Amino acid sequence: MFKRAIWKNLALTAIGIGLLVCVWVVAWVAVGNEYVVPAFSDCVKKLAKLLFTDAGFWRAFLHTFLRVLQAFVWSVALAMLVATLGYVFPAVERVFAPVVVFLRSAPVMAVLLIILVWTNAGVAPVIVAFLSLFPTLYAGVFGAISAVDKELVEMSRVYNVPVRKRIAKLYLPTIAPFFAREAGAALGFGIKLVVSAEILVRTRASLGILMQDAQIFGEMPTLFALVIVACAFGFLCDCLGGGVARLFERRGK
Amino acid sequence: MKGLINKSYETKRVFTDFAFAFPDGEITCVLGASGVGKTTLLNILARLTEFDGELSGVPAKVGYVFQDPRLIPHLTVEENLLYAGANPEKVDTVLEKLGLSAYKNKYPSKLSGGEKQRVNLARAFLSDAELLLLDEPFAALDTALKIRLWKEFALLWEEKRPTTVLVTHDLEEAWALGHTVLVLKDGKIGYSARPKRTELPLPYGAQSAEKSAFLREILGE
Repeated sequence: MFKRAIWKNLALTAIGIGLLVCVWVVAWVAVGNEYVVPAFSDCVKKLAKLLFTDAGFWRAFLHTFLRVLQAFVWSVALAMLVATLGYVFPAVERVFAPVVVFLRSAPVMAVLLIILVWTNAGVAPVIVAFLSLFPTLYAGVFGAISAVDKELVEMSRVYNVPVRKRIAKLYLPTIAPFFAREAGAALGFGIKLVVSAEILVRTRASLGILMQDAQIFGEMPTLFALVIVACAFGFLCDCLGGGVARLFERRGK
Repeated sequence: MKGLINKSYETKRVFTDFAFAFPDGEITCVLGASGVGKTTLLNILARLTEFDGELSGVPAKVGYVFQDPRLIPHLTVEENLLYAGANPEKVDTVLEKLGLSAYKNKYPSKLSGGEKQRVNLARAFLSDAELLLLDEPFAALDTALKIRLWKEFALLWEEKRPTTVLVTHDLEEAWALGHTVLVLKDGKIGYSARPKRTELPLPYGAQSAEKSAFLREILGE
């Protein structure tokens, strides 16, 4: 049953990707200009070349990935800490509410320009991604902790269950599926933010600068191939998060 | 165990100088209309609800059989019992007595309502509680299962005889299980009785002049 569901999901995903490719091909035929919409086949060839023969691409990808990872790890750590404190001490949650609203509504690229004054082009994308990911992850973690069944929390109090055991056996397994989904989405969102910031501040050895150079030199198949890489990364993270979440959710059913 | 308590919620006063004394090592059954404060009383004794007043002689180790089983869905029956502090060496014995041995490694979602309620009961007994609180533990069960569970409950209770407060809507249940039967009315003990018994529980439907007289008193006839 579970395997059938997986195959069904894979088939539907393949249909979705196929539709995107169809739209691309139709656009390519309709526009008839390789500079505006390059041929799908050219982009695939370019992508294969990047993946299998271009060490420079992998170096840039690794650096961008590490930036995403840094922003993600810091966001997760702080989100966990603040969400836990906010759950235990409601005053902390109220103090952080306006901070979270501010971070959510702050124009990312404008903030990036300010941060660039204080730091350098290698660090600024990490900070910008962190500032955008933190409120999302914080809201997700806080929501998940708050959603832990109050009756089970009461039961734990009555039976004097030690705090460490409550965290390990009640809280963590309950928030794990929520967190896995949020984390997968956050990683995907993270690469979007980091690449955008890298383009704006021209970070050396990054996917962003490769994209910008491809655009400047009119190498549209390369630009599209790089965009496909970023999209595929986000898609994979999302799938991974969803898969891990489903594994947690299956326990007990 | 005794106390004098005052408790009110935002719009409702539940107890005003409510004085009670529950005999140690006995089962006190509490009856009363919905909203009279039966569950509030249990929550106060379990230290889950704040109140004004004082309690004395309330044991620290509490076992609470909630009205709904409150089992952690991602833990098996055995893991649920161990989570609440059950002695691993006693788990098998108690599960066997409650007819749950086959469900030890099953998740709550695989159990029926009656089986979940037995796990709820097992958890309370395995916690080695000195005070046992039961909130309509046998409500929503069919009569046959209910009577079976009364017997299972009585057998386990006799082993340690913890001070017990059992809230119920069912006079039959209260009469079968309680050493003392109380009826809460207007935030006070309206009526009380001590059924004469030689065994626990009394057979279902055991008629007695005492029970009939008590029922007439409650009904104001």
